[in-house]
This record gives sequence, C-alpha cells and structure tokens, in this order.
Amino acid sequence: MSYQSLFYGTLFLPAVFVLYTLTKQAYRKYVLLGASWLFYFLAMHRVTWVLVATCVGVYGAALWIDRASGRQRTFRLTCAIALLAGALIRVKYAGWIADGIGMLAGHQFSVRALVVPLGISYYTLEAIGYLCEVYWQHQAADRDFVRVALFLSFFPQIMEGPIARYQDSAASLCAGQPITGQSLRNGCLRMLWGFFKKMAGADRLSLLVTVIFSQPHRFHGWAALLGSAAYVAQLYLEFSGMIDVTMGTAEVLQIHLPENFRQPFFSRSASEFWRRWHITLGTWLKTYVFFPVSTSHLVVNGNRQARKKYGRQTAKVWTSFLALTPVWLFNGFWHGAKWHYIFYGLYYLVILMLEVILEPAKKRFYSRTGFSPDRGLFSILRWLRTLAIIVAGEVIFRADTVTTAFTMIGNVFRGPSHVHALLAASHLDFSDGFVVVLCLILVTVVDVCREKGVHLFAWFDRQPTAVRWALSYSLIFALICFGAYGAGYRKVDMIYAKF
Amino acid sequence: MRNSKWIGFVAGLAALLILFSLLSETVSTGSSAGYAARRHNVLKDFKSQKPHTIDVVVLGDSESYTSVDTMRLWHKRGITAYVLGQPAAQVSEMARMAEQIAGYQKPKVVLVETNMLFRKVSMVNGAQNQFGQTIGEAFPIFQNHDFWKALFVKDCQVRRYNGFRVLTRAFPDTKVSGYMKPTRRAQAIPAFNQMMMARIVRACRDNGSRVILYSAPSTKNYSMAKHNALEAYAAKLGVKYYDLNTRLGLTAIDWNQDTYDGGDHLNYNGAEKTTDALCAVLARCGLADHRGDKNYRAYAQLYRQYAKRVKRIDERWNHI
Amino acid sequence: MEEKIIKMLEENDDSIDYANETHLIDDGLLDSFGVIALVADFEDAFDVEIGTADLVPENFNSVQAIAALIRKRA
Repeated sequence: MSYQSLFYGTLFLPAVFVLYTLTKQAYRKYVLLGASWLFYFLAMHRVTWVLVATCVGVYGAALWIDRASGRQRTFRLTCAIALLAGALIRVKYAGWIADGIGMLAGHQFSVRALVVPLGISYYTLEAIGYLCEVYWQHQAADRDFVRVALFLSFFPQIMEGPIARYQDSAASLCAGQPITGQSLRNGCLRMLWGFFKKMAGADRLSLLVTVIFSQPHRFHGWAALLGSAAYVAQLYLEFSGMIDVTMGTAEVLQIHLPENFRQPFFSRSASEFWRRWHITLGTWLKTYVFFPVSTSHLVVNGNRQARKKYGRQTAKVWTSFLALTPVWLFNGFWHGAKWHYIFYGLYYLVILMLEVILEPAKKRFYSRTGFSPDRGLFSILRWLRTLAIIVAGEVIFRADTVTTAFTMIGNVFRGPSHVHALLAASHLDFSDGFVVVLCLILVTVVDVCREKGVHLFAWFDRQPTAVRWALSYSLIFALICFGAYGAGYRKVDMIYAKF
Repeated sequence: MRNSKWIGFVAGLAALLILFSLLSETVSTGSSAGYAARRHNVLKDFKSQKPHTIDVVVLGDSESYTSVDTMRLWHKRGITAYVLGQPAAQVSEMARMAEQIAGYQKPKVVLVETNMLFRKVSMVNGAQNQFGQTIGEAFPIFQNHDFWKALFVKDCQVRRYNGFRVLTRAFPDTKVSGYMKPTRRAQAIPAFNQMMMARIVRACRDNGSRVILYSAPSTKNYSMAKHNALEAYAAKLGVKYYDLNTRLGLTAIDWNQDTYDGGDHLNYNGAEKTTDALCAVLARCGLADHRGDKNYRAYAQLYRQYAKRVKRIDERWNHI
Repeated sequence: MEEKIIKMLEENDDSIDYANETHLIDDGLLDSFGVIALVADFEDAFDVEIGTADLVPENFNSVQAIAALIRKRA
C-alpha cells in the first residue's frame, strides 16, 4: 500500500480520521499508533516486527543512556547508534560491501538479500537524532512509549519523511488535537495539490525520463537537455507533491511537521539549494554529522593551529573540508549502495568547497566593481549557474553509472537533437505536453507566491464562498481528469520511498 | 465552516461527478483518443454484435489479441470469434468481462490466454483494483478520465478485426537459447489471480461455454516453470490446456520473422501460425461453419476489408 | 563581554547590526560555517570549551544569548 493508492485515499485515511474524531482526546495517540502499525503491516506484512522492535529498542536505549553520565553515557549512545546503523547497513548495504570485499580479496562472498523494511532510511535517522538529543540533554528520555513509537512510525511520514526532530513533532503527534473544519479543509486542499503534482505532472514526465535514461546514448543536444530537465522537474513534482500529501494529512490532525522544501529553484547558489531542497535531511546532517565533526577536538585543534600558521581563510577552508566530507559522503551513501550516489555526494562536496575557497575573491570582485550579487545581471547569472549545477547533479543521481551520467551531460553539447523522436518514443502526445506545462505553470505560480511571502490559505479564506468552492472543485476535477492513472497508464512508485 | 456548508459542498461534488461522467461518456463514445476510450470501445463493439452469433470468445492480455486472428478462423473454418483481451489486463478485469458476456452472447468456447495469470498482484492490491473498478462503473468519469484528449488528438484509429490487431513489423529475437529450458520447478500463480480465474470458469460454465486455456508463443513471457504450473493448474480447474510454446513444431514459429518486438508479442505472421494451431484445437469442439449463412453477412464483409489490408502485407513480405 | 563578542562577529561580516539582532540563526544571517568559525574564536578569546550540545539556534540567535552561553561554560 502506498499513499497514492485508491484504498489509502478513500478508505484507510477517512477511516482513521473518523476513528480519531470519535475517540477521546487522551486516547487519540493510540488510534494513530494503531493505524501506523496497521499501515505498515498492510505494506510489509511480517517485516513489521522490525519497526516494532526498533520502537521498543529506541525507547529503552534512550532511558538507558539517560541514566548514565560521563564516559558511560557516551559508550551507551555509541552502542545504540551502532545497533541502529548496523540494522540499516545489513539490509541496505551488505551486498554491496560483500561485493567490494570480494573484489579486493579475489573471492566471491554472497550475502543473503533481505527485504528492506519500508522507510528504514527515514526512521533510523529520526531514531539516531532522538538518541543524540537525549545524550546532549536537550531532551529528557521519554517515559511514554507511545510517543516514541508514534514519532518513529507515524504512517504519513514513514515512506518519504520529512525527517523530524523529536522536539519538533513528538508532542504534537500525541496532543490529540481535534479535527476542525478549518484543519480538514486546509489539509485536504494541500493533499489534493500534492496528488495533482505527482499524478498529473510527475507521472507523465516519468515516461519521458524513463526513455532517455534507458537509452543514454541515443539523445543529444536539446533532447538530452530536455530529458535531464524533465527529470529534475519530475523529481521535484513527485517528492514535494508526496510531502504535500504528508503535510496535508498532518494538518488535518493538527500535527506540526517540519517543511521539507522552500522553493528550491529560486536558489542562487548550491549551498542555498541544499537549504531549500530536502531540508530535513540537510538539517539532520548539519545537526548530527556536521556540528559533531566540526566541534570535535581534532578539528578544533587543527583549526587553531592552521589559523596561526596560514591565516583565517586557509583555516576555514581546511575545517570546512574536514567537516563537509563526512556530510556529503553520508548524503550520497544514504540514497543507496551505488557508486553514482556516492559520486553525487562528492560532486556537491567539490562545488561547496569551491564556494568556500572562492568566497574572498568574489567578495573583492563585488566590492571593487560595485555590482550587487543579489540584483540585476549577476543575480540572474548566479541563478542560471545554480540551475545548471542542479540539473547536472540530478543526472548523476539518476543515471545507472557515473560513466553514463558523463555521457549524458556530454551529449547535451553534441548535436543533432531529435526532440520529436524523444517525445514519440515516450508516447507523450500534444495533450500530455499541455498538462505537464499547465502543471509546471501552476507550481511556479504557487512557488512565486510563497517566495514573496503570500499566505495562500489566508488569501483563500478571504474569498467569497463561491470562489472557494469553484477553486476546490477545479482542483478535484483537474486531479481526476489529468491524473495519469487507470487504464493505459502505469503506476509509478514513489521515488524517495526506495531510499 | 459549518456542517451545512460541508453537506452543500459534498452534494455539489456529487452532482459534478455525475455531470462529468455523462460528459465523458458522450465524448468517449466513438472517439479513440484516450486510452480508456479505446479499451472501452472494444467492449462496446462486442456488445453491439448480433446476439448469439459469436462462438468463440478470447480473454487475456496483449498476448491474446496478437495471437488469435479472428478473420483467419472465419476464412478457414467459418468460426465466429471475438477477442476481448486488453493490453496489460488483470485477471480480475477479464473476470468482469466474462460475467458480462452472458447478457449478449452464448459462446461455445472461451479461450483464455494464460500470461495474465502470472501478473504480480497481492490480495490487498487485488481487492483495491476491484474496488477501483466498482467506483469506475458507478462514476464513469474515473474510467474515461482522459476524455479531454479528444480535444487535442485526432482519432488515431487502431484497426481491429473483432479484437485482433494486425501488427506488421518484425523485430527478431536473437537470444532464444534459454527459452523453455527443461526444469521441474513450477512458478507460483498468485492466489488472487487464481481466485479471479475461478470466477471466469464459473461464469463461463453458467453461460454454457467451455473454457480452454492456452499460452501464446513468447520467449519473453514463458518458461518451463510457468508451463509446469499451468499444467497442474488446468488439471485442478478441470479444463484443457494447450501450451503453444512447447509445441513449436506445430506452429513453426520463426523468432527471426514472426515476432513484433523481439519475442514479447507475435506479429501478423506469427499470429497466422498460432491461429492455425488453435484452429486444430477448435475443430474438435464441434463448432458450426457459418460461411454462407445469411445471418453472418457482416463477417464476410469485415473479412473483405481485412483481406485487402493483409494482401498488401503478404505481398511485401513475399517481396522480401 | 558583549562588546568583545560584537567585535568578533563584525570580523566575520560587518553588514549586520548585531547589538539589536535577535534572530541571527533563525533569519539565516549566521550560517553553519559562521557558527563554527565563531566557536573557535570564542574558545580562544574566553578560554571556554563549547561542545556539540551547545550548538542550538537558541544559543546563537543574539549577542546576549552568546554571552550567556559563554558565561555558563566559563
């Protein structure tokens, strides 16, 4: 079962909402936990025990860590994280590691492939985060098992995140706030919007993307560029759309989850992009990898000495390199045990390091010439450069191998382009193109509004009933008519659910 | 928002659903722009046939309408046949079709192509598809949701002869070495598909039709493990099963010339060969020869159109 | 102490009115690189040790908060 399935939208979710409303406030958390584990059971069957065991383990580990102090405390945290990471590595990376060792040792090792539990990449990060917060005493170990379990297994979040911090979501998950007319309406609108992005836009683009990435040598020039850009669009529509569905569901229940996107394509630099794209992963990496590494004795002392010897700027570059390397290796590796994911991480490491290295030069340039980096020509140039970085990055991300990715990026600069052949091969006709463009225009309008700080829901509230209803009906029927579902369309699985 | 407003909103939604359903029905009748419309029109065409004239109905996925040439059956033996198979069909979809046959036709034989039996489907997914179909029947807008494509696309009529599609291209399959390699293994048929297949058999028997399973030759879709499973399954159902993959000597399929897409589907050439093999099977079912019967003039007419089309193809092929 | 902190902040970026700003982190005026560089500065200047657990937005949002943190760790 997944969020875009009919059963989920028309039976499961409404049933949860009804049951939630009928239950007394204090018991609503049990309804949500029951629903979450049922959802998991419907999707994963017997493997559900892994999630339940993780919940019990994390609950116990937090209490165990909180009882100790000093070195013992550190030791206990390390044990707990090792166990969590071990489980993740066993199911996701064991085969790849065995192949690697086998290659070095010249002997074939085989590891039994296990079923990857749904959402393990997401809830493992949340669990590690919670244990660290307890260790740092930002958060006392929670004595309420249901709260810990619900934090890790809340069903709208389990497939694609967002990766929440314990302080951000746990309390509101268990608050049992009532479903109000306002929350129901806003939540449903956001869900519809998300489904529209995914089903009308992303699932159509997926046809084109599949063609170009399965025949990377065939398309050149504009066709190659179109295919690569289409993948970036698909990824954004799909991931942000499904996150909208999650956020909408949470909104109905008046639960607050952290946002995962902030109009990423308005970024002017790669580092800004990562503060706007998959925000919760970035925040997690910053809090639990970047800060611990950069405040470790080794890095701090290294920084101190480098600063004395070589000056501030060099020291900054050196510290950044030490702290960013694990962040980006982790980011790449987290997506899966494939070399091109790791290369994707390194790609951004190089770009971000360049940003750090070139910073003084750029500062000097702007102050001497008097141009502003945030206005006019340079702003547009920086924007275009960032888009190019993003597109190239996502090609590396999607291509089967690093070499293929380079071929594809190179193909953009080699003619001749057969855009028509690409469209024909992907079975998209003029009408599909129309829907995709319509969807992209709507998304751009909404994103521009958000960027300008317009609160769309507040604006919606000010409209007369007739306008509100007309807009709601339009959205519903746009989804029904333009969605790529049913006969003749293949169901496209959620991309980020497999990471 | 107060409750009365919500009720008003939902009532409006229901009214619009009905309105759109009617609109989509009107637009998709006769148009073949949308995918759903095309699928829909086959069933509509079937229902518009003269009552109780069709003797053989074929169910299945794309393997079915690329392997049974209804026109050749007519021309050689005067057998009237109709292929209800649909691209990427689920067994459950075919079960619903099988149940609808009774209202219009009383076929003597229902041929079921077996490839769809191995389509992966869990009990949960299966139930979901069923539920989706029920909604789709209540509000046809969900089935014909791409009716708006008629605004953009000129009818791209796929010529079908009672469901059979003439595919002319030949794309050889060069890797046939592993095809039908002997094994004692049997590939499991998903429980949900078995349940739906049982429904097909029940519906056909109630309608007085005999069910025969067959597997169309396909290197991409069949293996010995599937053959073994189907043999056992057919015995359990108490129906006959003909695997044309193991009787290639009978059909003499040439994987260089007779496949449309490298061993997945047969082209016109391949369909001729399998149809001849199936013809021999059907000959034992005591079907009447309707050639020359006045009631079946429409068949003779359709055959003339078909003959004109395939003559060109035959000439081209012979030329090569 | 606050003045000393402001001076160090200005070494990093002098376009911000640090004395009256209370959302340095929340508004994105100070990024994570900035925080890391500052931590090293503070550790040297005030002879304190600032750990990972202290790196939360509340501790760096204003000059007052930073001063409070340093006093706590001294």
